[in-house]
Amino acid sequence: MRLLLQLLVNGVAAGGVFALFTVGFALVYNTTRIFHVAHGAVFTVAAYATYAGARLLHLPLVAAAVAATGVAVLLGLAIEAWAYRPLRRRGAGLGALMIGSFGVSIVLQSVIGLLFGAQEQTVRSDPLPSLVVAGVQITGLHAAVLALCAVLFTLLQLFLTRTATGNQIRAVADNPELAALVGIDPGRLYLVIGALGAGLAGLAAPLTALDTGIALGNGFSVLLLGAVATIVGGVGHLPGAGLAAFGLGIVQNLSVYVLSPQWQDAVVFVVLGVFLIARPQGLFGELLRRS
Amino acid sequence: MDYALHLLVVIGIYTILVVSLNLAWGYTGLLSFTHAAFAGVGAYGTALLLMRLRLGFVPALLLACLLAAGLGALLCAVTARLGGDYFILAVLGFQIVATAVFLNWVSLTRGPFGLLGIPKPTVFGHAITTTGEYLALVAVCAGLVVALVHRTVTLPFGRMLRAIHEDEVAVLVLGKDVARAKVAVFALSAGCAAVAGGLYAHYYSYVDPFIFDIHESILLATMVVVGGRPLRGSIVGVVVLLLFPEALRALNVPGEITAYLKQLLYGSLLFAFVLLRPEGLVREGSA
Repeated sequence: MRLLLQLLVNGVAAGGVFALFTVGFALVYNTTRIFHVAHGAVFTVAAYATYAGARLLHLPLVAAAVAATGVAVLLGLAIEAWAYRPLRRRGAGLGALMIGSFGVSIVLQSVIGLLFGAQEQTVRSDPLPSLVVAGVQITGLHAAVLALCAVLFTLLQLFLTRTATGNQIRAVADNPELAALVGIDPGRLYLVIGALGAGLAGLAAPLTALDTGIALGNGFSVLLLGAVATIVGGVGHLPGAGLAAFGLGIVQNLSVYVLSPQWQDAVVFVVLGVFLIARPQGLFGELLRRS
Repeated sequence: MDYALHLLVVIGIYTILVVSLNLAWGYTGLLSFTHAAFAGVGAYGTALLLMRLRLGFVPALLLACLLAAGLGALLCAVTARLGGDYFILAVLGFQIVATAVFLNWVSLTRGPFGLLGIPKPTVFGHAITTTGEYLALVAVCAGLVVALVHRTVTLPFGRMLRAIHEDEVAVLVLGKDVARAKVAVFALSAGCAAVAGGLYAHYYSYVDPFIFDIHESILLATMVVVGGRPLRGSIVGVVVLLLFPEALRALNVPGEITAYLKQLLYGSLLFAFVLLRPEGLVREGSA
């Protein structure tokens, strides 16, 4: 029972990190319709940037995390400007954009592999400050993740609904042609979205790095989870995506109670399978909006 | 000489895989990052049927192909009604689940240790032992698969597949059963991929879960993109992408770096081709 509770706490914390990442993915996916595979690679780069900052440059952990988020934002801008924009200009369809994104993702992952090698790395040497409630350990990082989620998602919601740029982003997401007709420049918005989305991945990565350390395959695993959560939450519905990511984090951690951890990626897809058969529109989606 | 024969065997096995993926993706538009998993079903299936149930190589291979085709049909039947991105993700999920099964069903697959000592095949009473004989076996199988796929895409059914790729709704409006065509193609494609897996397992006498993981599926997709839609293109894609690691080996680049350099090349090629030459090296209708 105590173990189950501990797994639940771990699951909530992991779910918070996944939610940050997933909302970034869903933001890009909902507005640009690009199946943003490179989002996972942004996560990997930011995780290794945290490691490089903390372990190689000996920065304080918080400074390393902030620097990593900055690196991620720059990378997000670069991917939009140097990968997606040229592809769009050449008239690439959504399928081609996805393959292109896959290409970018593989290139980034392999460069990180060449620089840092395959072995798993840890970022911090001391245990995290924590308190024990009813035999369940809750670390300061767990609390920080939840606080960050609450603050950031509120800010994001305010940005999307209360600012001119946010309204334009929602307009482009809803109907790009109509948005262009009323004089909205999608090119600028795609840059804003790319930076925002990457920033969220760039926050999730240092949090994971501090909690469990980093491995080269993490980015792809979290990408799969984020993509599944976006669909399970209901495409076009940001809070749904975030909630689904929370749920998947909890399910994944609880599954360790009965299954070996090697099943964690597969568990995510079992959930997807159940949804695709029983509720294909996702938790909050509307039925069938076919393009 | 033996090395050249070995390269030809590997090229033959990959040609089967890429041609079968090309049928599903290039012709019908069913983008699959899971064909390595179907090859894995073929490899584990053939080897286990032969080692555990003492079946002959040919019946074991055929049964494993049927199993892969059945799994492919089931997967496609569940996912084909979904839109493009959903389909791609759900099918990718099969790859992830398959790898987890190969890794974790230890009593059947021996997990990460893999299956060792898979015997060389005996085909119609003739033991295949030398690389030359194996090349003949692979060539016959590759020839059969290529002929089958070629026949499929040149039949009226093949024109319908291309039409599904171009405009699915239009084909539906014509009263064609699009879902059934997709399921049939995906099953055929998965079955063909399993042939390659079975040949692979008995050629190396060894399989493990990492041979048939997502990286392999990405490699196959890269080969399709680089080669282009015509079946000749698939062979070009295979040769171009297989020769690069061989060149690295000839230059004595260390193993770990080779793995990353390979990934770097695949990623760059994927992006460069989608951007600069989306139709691939071999254009349709070119001589």
